[in-house]
Amino acid sequence: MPRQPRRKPNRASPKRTASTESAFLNIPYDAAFENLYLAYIAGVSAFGLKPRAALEIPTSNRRLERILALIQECKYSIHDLSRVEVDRTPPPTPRFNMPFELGLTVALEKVVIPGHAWIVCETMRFRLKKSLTDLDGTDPYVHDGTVRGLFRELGNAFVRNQNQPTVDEMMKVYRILRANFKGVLYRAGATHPFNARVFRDLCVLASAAADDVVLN
Amino acid sequence: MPQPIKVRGRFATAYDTAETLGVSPSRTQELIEAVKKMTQGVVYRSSNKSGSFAVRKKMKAGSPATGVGMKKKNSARHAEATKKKAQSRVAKAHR
Repeated sequence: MPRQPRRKPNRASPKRTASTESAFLNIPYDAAFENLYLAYIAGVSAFGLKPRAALEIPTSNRRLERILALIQECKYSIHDLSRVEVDRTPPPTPRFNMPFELGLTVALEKVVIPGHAWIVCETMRFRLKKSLTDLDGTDPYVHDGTVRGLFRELGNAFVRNQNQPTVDEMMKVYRILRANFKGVLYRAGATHPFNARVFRDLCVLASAAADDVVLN
Repeated sequence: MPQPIKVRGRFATAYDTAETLGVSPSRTQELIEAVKKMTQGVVYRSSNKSGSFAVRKKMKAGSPATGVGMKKKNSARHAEATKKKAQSRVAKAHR
């Protein structure tokens, strides 16, 4: 009896869908930075990315380990080095958190997560050349401390094949976030937006707004 | 200028973000509803030629957005003001 050719087993291949990606936000948490804080959340969400920040980390956890884990969970990170000056609150000190977390990211990218992409944002042109000479050769994205400037720079830093948001669309997401901002603060019983609960609510709001504005 | 970073992943929806950040489904739904309330009836128009972007909102008559209790600013009001100004000038000329 002639042998039947062996049929390949009909294995249903699992449906492959691209996963979503996160962006780690390494930004200052102070009242003067509130507008840009909201703008970062709006802009990152408008690019279809999930914003993540050290704010999410409960104070009970060992902060440094969680920051390292958080950076590794993210495909991208944005480091804003706008606050390099000495603050007025005594004792006068500069803020080291942002440059420190940038250093951690660079080290992780070189050793542990080679695919990780990071960018540096600044308010003033040429200041980074003075404040952090180790980053010579890295061009910062200078947003001039304005919301529109930040959206312009995010548009320069990131590209999407589909659904690339325009500056106007990012502004629209930002305005929706601004309009709901006080309600979110009130519900959380917070006076400032730099806490875990408010951050989470703002991120979901921004993503919902981005779905409506950018995708539709 | 550095090369832009290509974002290849799927566009994250509000549900994706909520799941990652640990926001409850009921709260997520609440936030989505809040956004929908704001964007309902908004029409986005962009012109290919100029790249301009217009946001138009369909407003119901008497809705808070139309300014209930506020004095209407219409062309007649402006015309009245102009007329008054013209009269006073004429009056001055006749003095």
